[in-house]
Amino acid sequence: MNIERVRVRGSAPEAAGKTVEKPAVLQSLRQQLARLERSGNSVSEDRVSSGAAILDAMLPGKGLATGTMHEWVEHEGGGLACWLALLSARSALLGWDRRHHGRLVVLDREGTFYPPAAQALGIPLERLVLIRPKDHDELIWSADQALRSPVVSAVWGRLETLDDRDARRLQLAAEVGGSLGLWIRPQRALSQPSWADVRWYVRGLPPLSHTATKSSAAPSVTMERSSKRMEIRLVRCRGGRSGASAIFEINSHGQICHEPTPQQTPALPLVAQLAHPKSASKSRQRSA
Amino acid sequence: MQASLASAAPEQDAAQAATKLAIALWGMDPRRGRLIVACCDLAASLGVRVGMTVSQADSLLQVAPDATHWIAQHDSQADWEALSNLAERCAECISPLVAIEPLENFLWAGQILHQPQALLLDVTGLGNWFGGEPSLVAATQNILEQAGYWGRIAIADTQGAAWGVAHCAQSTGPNLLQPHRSNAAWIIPPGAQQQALEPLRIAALRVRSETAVMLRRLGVTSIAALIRLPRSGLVTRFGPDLLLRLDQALGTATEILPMHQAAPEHRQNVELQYPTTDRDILAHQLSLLLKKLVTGLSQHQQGVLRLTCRMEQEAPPPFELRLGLFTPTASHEHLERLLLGNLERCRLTSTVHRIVMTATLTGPLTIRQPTLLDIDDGESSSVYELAKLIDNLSGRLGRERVLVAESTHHPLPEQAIRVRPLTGQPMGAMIPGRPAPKRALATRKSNRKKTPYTSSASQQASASQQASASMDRVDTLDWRAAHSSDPLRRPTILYKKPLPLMVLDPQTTESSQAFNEPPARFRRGNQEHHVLRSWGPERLETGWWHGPMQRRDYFRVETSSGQWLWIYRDLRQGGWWLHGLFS
Repeated sequence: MNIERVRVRGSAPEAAGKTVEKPAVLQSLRQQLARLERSGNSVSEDRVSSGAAILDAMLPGKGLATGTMHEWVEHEGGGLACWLALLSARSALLGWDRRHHGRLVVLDREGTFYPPAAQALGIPLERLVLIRPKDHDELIWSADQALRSPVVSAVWGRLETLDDRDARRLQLAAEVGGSLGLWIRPQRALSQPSWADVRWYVRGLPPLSHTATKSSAAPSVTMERSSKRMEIRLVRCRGGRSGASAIFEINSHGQICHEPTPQQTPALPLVAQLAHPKSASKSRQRSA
Repeated sequence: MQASLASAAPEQDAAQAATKLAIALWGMDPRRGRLIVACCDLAASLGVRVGMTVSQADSLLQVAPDATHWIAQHDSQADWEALSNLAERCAECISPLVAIEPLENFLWAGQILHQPQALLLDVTGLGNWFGGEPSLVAATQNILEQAGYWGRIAIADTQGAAWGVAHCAQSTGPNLLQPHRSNAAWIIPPGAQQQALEPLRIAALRVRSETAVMLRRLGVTSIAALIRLPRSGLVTRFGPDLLLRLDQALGTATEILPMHQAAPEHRQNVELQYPTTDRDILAHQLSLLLKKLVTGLSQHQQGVLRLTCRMEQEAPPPFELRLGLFTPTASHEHLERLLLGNLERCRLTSTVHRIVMTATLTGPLTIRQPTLLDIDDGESSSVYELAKLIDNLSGRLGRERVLVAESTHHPLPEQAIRVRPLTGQPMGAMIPGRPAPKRALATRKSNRKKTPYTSSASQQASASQQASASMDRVDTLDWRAAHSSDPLRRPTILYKKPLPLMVLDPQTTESSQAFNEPPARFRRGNQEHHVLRSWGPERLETGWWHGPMQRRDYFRVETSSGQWLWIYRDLRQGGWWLHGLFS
């Protein structure tokens, strides 16, 4: 503790002379804390958005730090962990203007990943490298290679098990390459220690209108477009406060927003169809 | 003396071994659409014939009892690769002079696919080395059998005669050798090609399909009848091609055999003085070979895209190392690292006495002078880094495990995406010996995609023009279906095979007003799902020319546990299926 105090004093020389604003001191303290918490010397200050403002607000640097690993733990009953991780991957691809040829590497051991889901999010298929490792060892090796590469923006994959040595290896690889490791973990991983910088726990929630009338067996087809209610909890966050949770909704435009008010009506884009200028002018000529 | 080896079915799939699965492959014909280009014995016994349309074949296979069927698109690239692999194998073991049959710019009689399907080997004077020509044939049959093919083999004085006999001779002829499992073989004695050819059909002469049809209509059905006709009349009526082919088959006109062999700079080999299993020695030899290969290639501004390194062992099965590369490379260090990495993981069963290294696919080296502005982080360095990563990955995992996905615009979800290996792809995807692939269909589709599907009158008029194309659309029934801007319209996980669902109260879903609704409760395994909300239906249907027709109504359903599932009702066969998971 003493050492830290000395360092704090040393880093803020003005403190002795005049009063400094509280936020600035807190900021410098946070930075120091982050530097202490990190093992390596390569502390990345680069942040990419996690794809949603709500999630960014829960994170210390308002985004995911590059060169680190992030975990999405999915509730057994379901959630959209894969989809949320893909959302982060997309923003990593977009936000990396320094390397305009960044690739997203998808590790798909089961061979069930469906690329159109990524395409629907706006990830171009030619930026996607699909790897189908045979076993866990190959998966870890491929992840290591991909994270190390300077042309890879993000690595996305499902990790059923991850031991400490492999986790450390992947963490170091991500630091070398400066890329994001985005991992989907099963629910039992919650009880295991994590090497990731950020660990989210995602759970799908039943829609609001149905919580009261759950007993009705008949499915009622709602007239709204797709929307998904979910709960997300920040289980672990290095350099930030963990334990925060939020309930939000993914609307049909892929935007993540706070729970909607019940009065909200879905807006339909109704655009009047105009006649094609060419055919219109032709018909005018004909009538003339 | 020359031999023609007609490997009749290089596209035969191992899947055929599965019981009661009828396989048919279709190819695109510019005039007649999708035609069956190959089928297995089971399909043939059910009435499927090469040259019929996919819809005919489909209806024949649909009614077949207790046999499932599979109609897939013919992959000409895979075919070509298999044939050239076989050619290289023959060049190693039978005769150094191997040709893949040359193609004219028209289809030969009886040919459906415009791509080489036969190998021509020059075996002049080679019979004695094998202890007689029958032994030579047996050796060839062994090679075919090892590769899992059955073929028709003929040895004759001219390549025309050998080709004709191998393709068209009956399996009861006089020159037939002892049947060797499923391989049929004929040896035509020297000078006897005319007798061997006379009973055959005109198609055995490699003439234009139209010429063969015309001759058949005139009553000239066999080559014997053709020979009896006056030659001068034939030239004026059928052009010079027919007589040239006849003379080539009979040996009165010469024909050049275009050799298929790797150029010397694409191929290096070394005989080890002392056969060894020592990895250091082998690694050293590989490195030397690679250096020679790369030097030869880079003089021609070529780089390696696919590399095969065969190590022949004392005990027969030779050991092969295969590399595929993302971009053409002539970097010795890069290739050596990949190759030695592979060597470390292989297990040698006996001593190696010969190493053959072949660059089976090469491409032009693209060297770009870096400008002052992009020295730091240019495009070239990123391409280089990407190539390094992908080469590393596919070097260890295998070519078929490092993939890129392509959209095919096929309406069925499982076929909407095609994956192909990132490495070892030819530059510009041109297949030698075959005309450039036609892109007409693709452009028509992409034009269509620009106009969103609405049912306005003007578009109905244009839709009638493109009747065939518009039937292939993704039919959107109402506005509740997945909008094209909805990022959650497709699941992140798609099961390879749809899983059957058990609907728990079927009578409610069968009523007509509930037809557009998913079941309220269903069971998957031992888990029961209650549907809370659903979106759909989104109808996806294929055109009849896509093989067995499919009509499905897809729903996205939200269950009481908070899961999102992608289920569909099969409108043709009935039943509900789970196809994907929004995870």
